[in-house]
This record gives sequence, structure tokens and C-alpha cells, in this order.
Amino acid sequence: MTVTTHATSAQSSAEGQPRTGVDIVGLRKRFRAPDGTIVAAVDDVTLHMPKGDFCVLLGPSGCGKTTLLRCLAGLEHPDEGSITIDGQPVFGPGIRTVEPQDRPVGMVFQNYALWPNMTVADNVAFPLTTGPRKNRLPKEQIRARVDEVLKIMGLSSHGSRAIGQLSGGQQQRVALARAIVAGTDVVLFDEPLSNIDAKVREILRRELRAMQQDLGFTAVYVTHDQAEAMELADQITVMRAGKVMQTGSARDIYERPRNRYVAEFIGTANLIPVTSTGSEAHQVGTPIGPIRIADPGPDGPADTPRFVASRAHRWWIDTAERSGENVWSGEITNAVFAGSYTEYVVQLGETSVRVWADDNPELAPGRKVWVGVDPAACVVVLDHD
Amino acid sequence: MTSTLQRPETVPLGAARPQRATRFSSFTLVSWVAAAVVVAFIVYPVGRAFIGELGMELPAVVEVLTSSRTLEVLRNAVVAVAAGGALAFLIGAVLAWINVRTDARMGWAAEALPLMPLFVPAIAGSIGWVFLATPEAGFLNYWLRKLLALVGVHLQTGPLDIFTWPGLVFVYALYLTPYAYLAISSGLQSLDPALEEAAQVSGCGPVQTLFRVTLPNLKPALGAAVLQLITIGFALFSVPVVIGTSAQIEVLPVSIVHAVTRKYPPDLITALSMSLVLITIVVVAWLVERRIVAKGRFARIGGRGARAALVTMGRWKLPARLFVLGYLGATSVLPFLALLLVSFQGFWTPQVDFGALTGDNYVDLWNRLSVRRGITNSLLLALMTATITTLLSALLAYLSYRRRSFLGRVVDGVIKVPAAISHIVVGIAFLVAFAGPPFRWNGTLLLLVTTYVVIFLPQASFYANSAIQQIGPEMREAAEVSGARDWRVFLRVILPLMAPSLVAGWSLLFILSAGEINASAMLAGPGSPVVGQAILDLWTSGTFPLLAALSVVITAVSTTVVLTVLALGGRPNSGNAP
Repeated sequence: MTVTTHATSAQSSAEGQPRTGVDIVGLRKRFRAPDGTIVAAVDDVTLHMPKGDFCVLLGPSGCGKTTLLRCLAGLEHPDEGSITIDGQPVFGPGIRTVEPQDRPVGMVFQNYALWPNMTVADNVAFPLTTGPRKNRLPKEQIRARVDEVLKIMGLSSHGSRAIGQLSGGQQQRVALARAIVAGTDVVLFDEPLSNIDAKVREILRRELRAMQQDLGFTAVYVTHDQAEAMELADQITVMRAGKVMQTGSARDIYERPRNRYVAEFIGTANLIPVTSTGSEAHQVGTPIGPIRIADPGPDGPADTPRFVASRAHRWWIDTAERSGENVWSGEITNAVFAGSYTEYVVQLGETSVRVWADDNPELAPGRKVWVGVDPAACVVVLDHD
Repeated sequence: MTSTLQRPETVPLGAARPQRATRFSSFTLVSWVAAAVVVAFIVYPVGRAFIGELGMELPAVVEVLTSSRTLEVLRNAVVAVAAGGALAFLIGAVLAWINVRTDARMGWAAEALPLMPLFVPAIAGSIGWVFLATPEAGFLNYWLRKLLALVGVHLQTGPLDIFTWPGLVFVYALYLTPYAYLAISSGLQSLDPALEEAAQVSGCGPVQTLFRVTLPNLKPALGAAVLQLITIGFALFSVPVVIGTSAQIEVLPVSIVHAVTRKYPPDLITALSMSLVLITIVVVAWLVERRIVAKGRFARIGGRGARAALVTMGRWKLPARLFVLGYLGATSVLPFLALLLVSFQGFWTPQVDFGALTGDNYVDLWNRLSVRRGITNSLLLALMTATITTLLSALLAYLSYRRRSFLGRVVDGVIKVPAAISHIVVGIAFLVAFAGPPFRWNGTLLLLVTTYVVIFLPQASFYANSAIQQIGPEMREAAEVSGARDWRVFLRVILPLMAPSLVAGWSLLFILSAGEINASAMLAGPGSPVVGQAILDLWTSGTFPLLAALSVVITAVSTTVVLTVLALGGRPNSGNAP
């Protein structure tokens, strides 16, 4: 719904053709659940994924992100809407639906889906050995291309290995090699790192991002892990129950959430209900008094509940008395040491806020403290639904 | 992830969907033609036999069904299957438990157990037990009498008598056990051991765990085992024709076959009417089983490679292993040795004169043209049946796996029909439908091979379906996204991944077809002799040494073929029940 254009998206290919990325308009996909109820897995999604960008679909289990990805691959047939990939309409009214075989995409599956009956090199070569025989590359060229891709992936010496002999990280690289070998401009990723150890995952994530920037393909990447999304993405699309909640850069999503759902899903946010529009332009009334804000938030129906959202780490906490705007005094009710920071829960009248600050032994539960937040870190968000 | 939860059970809505590409590929065409041919070869004979032939003669049908003779052979069959099946269930369950869940398991035995009893064709194995336990001339009896004489007990006959109810039930149990074993052991293997561990952690003792967690969750497997025992048991022909006939106990399947083979012209009305009884029993058993298993509140396969801590058997380990070995001995080693011994004797006698052993029977066998042709026919039939059935079932399994359609489910259901109506009934139906005009296939190998394919298709489908279900849909999807179309996906990805299971299935089908007797007893004429039929003829005419030699030859050949194929083509997957 929110269409965000990026500076990085206005690139052109070497051939001078406009590079368009992926366009999704009004896409719907419904399933009938076993109990007969109808579930809208993808519900009126309109989304533009700029060419060459790393686009992440982020959301919890069941939000429809994987169904959306499978619709792009052609593995699911949507009920309505249209999809255009790199300028080629692949699905839409009046268009003969393009089958997965003919779509200009590569795909990395959640468990890699490498074929155990073939060697690493055969797996990678597979996409080059399909289609009408006369259109295929000569054998030597296929071999050269496979060698080249394996080299990029750091798997040069593994070509003749069996899939079972590889580690999880290596399998992930083979899956990526297979997805990019045919030179398609769009590569789809279905939670490819979810089965890998946390440490290796970090390394692979960095490698993947570097590789995507080197090769310049458009990545559509599904994950439920917000840290992964933050690190990888040029564009994050947060989904909930089949709908797009917000699309934007990682910074946008984090610092300027448009609704309560996005604010709560990404990072840790304090949500303070808005009780009245403030007397001044950049101020709203709340149960703990007026709060000065940076962003009045999106327009919406007047009766929709609104909240002031602010990140826990943008708050400060002090034992000495302070005064000024966006400053309150209260009592610590809980303190949880979390390593790089400590979370203090501070009771301000009926409202409590979470403050992430450096650990301080003086700040014990029961202690009276002063807390405050930079107005630049306060935005108004709409309640969802 | 929404879709992994929803995809398997859901169907897309058809409303307002843009036009879907309708590419009609050669693969789809070939698959559907194959499916149509298979369905025709099942529906036409069965329909013609039971509606065309029997529908005309309703009073005669009633007369046959209410005759005291039918009731007697039915009662005999019920007693034999109930007693033999119960014993087989018990033995199978204990063997499965020992091999899956205790430290007395022997790896090779777990895999060999279901196959070994099949290496010796059931008709030959039954005769082997006749050689072992006939009151006067049985080898076991002779040696037992010698042993008893040492302690002062002198007997003229016995102590064992195979030609009695207990003898019949015993041999029934031996040949039914593999079916109970396969179903129960695959159930035990796929039961997540964590379920039992959770029960134990919750305070259940071993016995409580067994009754409150293990058995309730095994219900589908136990139900499948009982269903198998009933289906196979009521169709069992080789055991009762050899042992029951001499014991003056005639059971239903034997009466059906004899109505066709011992009457001229064949009494098809009697045979078909009695077949109706057989079908009714199987269908009722199937419906009952469906009711029990209907609500899917049972555990499914847990994490792969999850192994329960094996039950420590302590001093029961040796007895447990002896029990497993004892079963293998009783079911294949002993009867085979008896056959081997007799095959080198001039005439069957328990007083073995090792100096007088002779290879003449094998020479005689070679010189009998019809026997020689029987062997080549049987091996050829086995090769063709196993190969055609395996490939067909793989293709059909892929067809219904790829797109869940109504037609796919119909095909899936129809190819299971032969399992419900038993080999004998399929044999009669083919006899009625294809032996006479307009086909006139009587006495041809074509008639036998089509019958065998239809008979064994349900078993092959079982292997193919369980093989394909182990292949995640993403294996196919990855190939499609890589640009591969139907034939390429099937030949390069699906078929190779199914191969280990298919090879195991092929081996089983090869053995079963090589020793097939149920349908062959009615369909194999002088123009198309097969081994099972030849053994039965030699048995009827009392030519025991020659019969023994023939049994040894067919056992040796099919064992060699199967072991070679299994060694080359990977090991059989556990968890496949026929």
C-alpha cells in the first residue's frame, strides 16, 4: 500500500533498458482452511520492489509473507491482482499465467531443496540444462559458467561432492549458486538462514549482502527475524495477516513506524495512549501529561486510537532531579540486566515505560528517578484494525 | 510461516481467478493414458464378472451362498484366519518390538525378516513343512522319535502332525506374520520416542506408558496390521491347498479355485458367488478399520533419526534373539532344507542315506520341457510384472502427488481395489473377461502378465506412495523454478529420489510374481505353464523329489536376483508395508 521509491532504484542496466524490479498490484490469495473458514493469506497487497534492491518481507508466522513469495515464483496461483517481474507481466487479468519454469527468477528454499541424487556441480548446472535443447548452452560453456559461480561462492573444490557431504553453510551457498547461475535478475529467498547456527548465520548474512551488491540482482527475502531484516534490507515490508503494514528503509521502519503493530514488532517501543491533540502543533496530551513529538503521524479516522511511540533506548534515566519538556519523575519497579544494557521499568502514575540504559547499581527497584525522552524520538502511531 | 501450515490441507478458491495456463504436455497425456488403461483393466473385468456374469444368475447365487457347503468352507476359513491371524499378530508384534525397540535387535534381521519368508514361495514352503511334520515320514518327527527313544519313549508315528487344525493354523501364522510385522514395526519406527519419554517424565511407569501412550498412538498401525491379516489371510490359497486338503479341511479360497479348475466346464457361478463372500469380508474389515482410524488424533512421524533409548533386555536378550532366529528358521530355513534334502533323494524318506543322494531330479527337471518352460515363463513374468508395475505405480503416484485433483483421487482409489478383492477374485475376473471371446487370451502369457500387474499394483502403489511422500514438495518446486518441465522433473529429480524404495518394491514384486499361485492356478494353462502351477501339479500327482528340486531352483534363482538387485540398488527403506 505504501509505495516507497528509493534513490538506489533509479539505476539502469548496462544495456540501457529501464530496470524495473518487481511490481505487485492488488494481489489476493485465499485458502480454505480444513475447518471451512477462508483465510486471506495475501490480502490486497500492492508493492514495488526496486531493481537491484535487497527487499525483505518481514512478519510473524502466518502473516502471508511466504505465500506472497511463492506467488512471485509461480508456485501459488493468486486469486486476483497482477505481478510484473522485470517488466514482464507474469500474472494478471487477461494474461496467460507464466509458469514457474518460465519466470525470470531464481529461488533459495528454506531447507535449500538441493537434490541429493546429484553432485554439487550437477545441482548448480541444472537450471542451465532445462528448456528446449536447441536453446541450451554448449556443454563446455555450462561447465565454465558453473565453475565461475562455484568460485564466486568459494566452493571451487566442492563441485564433485555429494550434497550430504556439505555443511549447512555450504549447502546454503550451493542453493544460492543454483539460484543465480542462470543469471536471472530476481532471486527469491524463503527464510534461507533459519536452519543455521546463530554464529554461522551472521557470517552468511554478511556474505549474502556483499554478494547481492556485487552481482546486482534484486533480492526478495522472507524472514521473521527483525535483526536479519535490519541488517540485510534496502527495503523492509512488514506484513500482518496478509496485509502490508508498512514499507520503507530499515531506518524508516525503526524510527518512523506508522502504526502500533510495526512499532511493537520491530525493537522495543513504549506506547503511551494519546488522549487529546495538544495545544501546540508538535504536542499531544497523554495520561502522563503533554508530550512533545517529532512526527504527528499518518492521517487516519479521527476515532482510531493513537499512541506516542518511542524506543526504549532513546530514553534516559537519572537519580538527580531534572526538569523541562518530556521529563517525568517516577519509581523503578523492575530492573533486568541484559548484558549490553539494563532494562528499567519505571512507573509514571498509571503508565509504565521501559528504559534501556547502562547498568547502574544505584538504580534499584523502589528508587525514585527522573526519566525523559528526546522529542525527536517520539512519533504518533495509529492503532491497528 | 503461514503456508507450511496451510498448504497441505487447503484448496485454493476458484473465484475470480485469472485464466490459468492450460499447457497440455506430453507428460500429462502419457500419465493420464496410463491411468485410464489401468482403470479400464480393473473396472472392466470386475464389472463384467460380477455384473455381466453373476448379475444374470441371482437365484443361483443365492443357492450357492446358502448351501451348507459354502457355510462350512467359510467357517473353516474364519477359524483358520482368526486363529492363524491372532498368532501371527502376536508373533509379529513381539518380533517388531524386539527389532525396533530393544537392544536385542539385530540390524540385518530387521530388514531380512519380512522378506525372507517370501524367498521360498509359500506353496513350496507349505510342502516343506509337510516334509518336516507328516506323522510318519516327516523329518522332524523322525528325529524327534529318535531323541525320544533315547529316553525310553517309543513312538510309531508323530509326535507332530501337520495335517490337523493346529498344524494348519501354525503354517497360516508363519506366512501371515511378515504382514503384521511390517505394519507394526513401521508404526513403532515412526512413533516419536519423545512421546514415551514425556509419559515417563510425567510419572508413568513402563506398563502405564505402554497402555496409555504407546498402544493408543499405535492404533493406526495395529489397525493396518489386522486389516492386512484379514485381507491376505482370507485370500491365502497355497497353505490350505497343501495342508488343508490332506487334513480334510477345505477353506473358502480353495473351494473357489477348485470350482474353476476341477470342474469342466468351469463352475464360474459358484466361484464368483463365493468370491462375493470374500469381498464382503474384506470390505467390512476395511470399513471397521477406517472408523477406528478415522479421527486423526494419532502421533505422526517425529524428528528423523530420533531413536528411543533401546530397552535393555539383560538376560532376556539371548532368548529374544533366539525367538527371532527361530521364526526365520521355521519360516524359511527349515522348510528350504527339507526341500533341498528331498530334491536329492530318489524318493522322499526320513531315513537319509547320504551315499544314495543323487542329482537325477535336477536332470529330470531339465528334461521336462513343460517344467523348463514354466521356469523361464515365471522368471520372465516376474521381470515384466515387477518392472511394469513399479514404473506404472511411480508415474501414478507422481500424478496424484503433483496435483491433487478429483480424477487423481479416483485413480488412486481404483488401483487399490485389487487389494480388497484378493488375487483369486482378480484371477477369476480376468478369466471371465479376457479368456473367451472377443479377446481369447486364454493360455497366453499376456493374460498372466496383465493379471499379475493388476494384482500387484496396490502393493507397488504402496511403495511408490510412501517413497514419494518422503520427497518434500520443494524438491519439485526447486526444479520447476530452475526451468525444468514435467518429464525432466520426473526423470531427473523425482524418480532418482524414489529409487531406493522402488528397488525394494521391485524386489518384493519379483519374488511374489515368480512364485504366484493364486491366480495362476486358474489362468496358467498348458500353453503358459508357470512354476507355482507346476509345483501344485507335481504335489497333486505325488512326485515329491521333482517338486522339491523345482522349489529349490526357483528359490535359488529369485533369491539371487533379489539380493543382487538390492545390493546394487540400495537398501530397502524401513517402514514400507506391502
